[in-house]
Amino acid sequence: MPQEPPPGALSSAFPPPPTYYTHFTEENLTALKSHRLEDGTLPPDDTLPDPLCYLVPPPPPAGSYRAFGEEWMVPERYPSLEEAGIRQLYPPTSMAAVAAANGGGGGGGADKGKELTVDRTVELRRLSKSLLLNYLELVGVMGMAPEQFHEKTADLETILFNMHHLINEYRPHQARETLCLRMEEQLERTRRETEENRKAVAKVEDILAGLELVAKRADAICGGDGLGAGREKKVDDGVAKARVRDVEAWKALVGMGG
Amino acid sequence: MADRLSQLQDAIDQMATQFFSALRYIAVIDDKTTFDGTSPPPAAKVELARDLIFKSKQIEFLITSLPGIGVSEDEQQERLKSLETELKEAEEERCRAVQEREAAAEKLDAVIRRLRRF
Repeated sequence: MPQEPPPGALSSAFPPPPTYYTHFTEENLTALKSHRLEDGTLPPDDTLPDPLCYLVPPPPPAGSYRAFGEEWMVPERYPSLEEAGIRQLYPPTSMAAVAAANGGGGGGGADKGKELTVDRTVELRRLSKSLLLNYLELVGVMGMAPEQFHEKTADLETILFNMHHLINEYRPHQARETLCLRMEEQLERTRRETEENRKAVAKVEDILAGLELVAKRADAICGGDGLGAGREKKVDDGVAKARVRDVEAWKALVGMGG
Repeated sequence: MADRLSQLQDAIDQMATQFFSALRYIAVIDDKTTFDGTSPPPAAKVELARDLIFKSKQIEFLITSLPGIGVSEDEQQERLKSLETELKEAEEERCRAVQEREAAAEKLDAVIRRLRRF
């Protein structure tokens, strides 16, 4: 089994690389390949010889893990106030919280983590009102018996924690809302681009059709290709026709607004 | 500008700081005259109280303007899903339009080249 990391290696904000990274050498990796089972999976790490067992990735953590000096939950969720040892002043906001409050813990399945429709606005307003009220009481206490401030500051603290917690719980909701907005913006952009492309196509088609018309008209003006005329005449005809065609084409282009 | 939630949290933190500053002002700087309710309170105290009320009102305003309030998670998920399909369709449509445009550009190019040769 991999040796224990030195203390502080996992809890510091920028931990050093794991101690076993030096074992990932070319030889060790080739040696590990020969240990692979028939189905291509790796055998459990305790059956491998000493340096090779460090190369097998450990099973994914269950419960919680530490990264960048913080504790993370698996599956990821926001720890409830109760878990942090603070009294929750508002009704539970998610099924998971309800389950935890009922002492059930397990069960719930798909519903777990789903938000209940607790009116956060109302709760937040209530909390902000009692914040002000508690402060008023604190000021009163300070006037009468300044040494008894602990109780009131503790209340204020609880209320502040509750407000912050309620807001933080709301963050996934806001994230989804923001995602919706961004997607709507992108949809709008894509549609606009499509439309502009179509417009450009229509314009090109217009111009081409116009030019075709011009060519026909130039042909009509010059009258055929100078059949039966002499060589000299034919060249003159060609030049004249080109000139007429140019003039008509420019007229057509200008008429279309470039 | 930070999002609404961060704004709200900042406002709450500022309020807490104001709580502290106000008490500290009264304890350290104030002349400690008692307020008997007959004479008007000192201007500085009125200002402190008004600032607190302002902050409280600001917090309340931010609470009522939280984004997507009153929209349930299921509704959001559904909206996201329909937006996703719409986006896919729009993207396909866009690709078609780009192809059309390229074809048109090629046609135009060919015509211009022919004109030059004439």
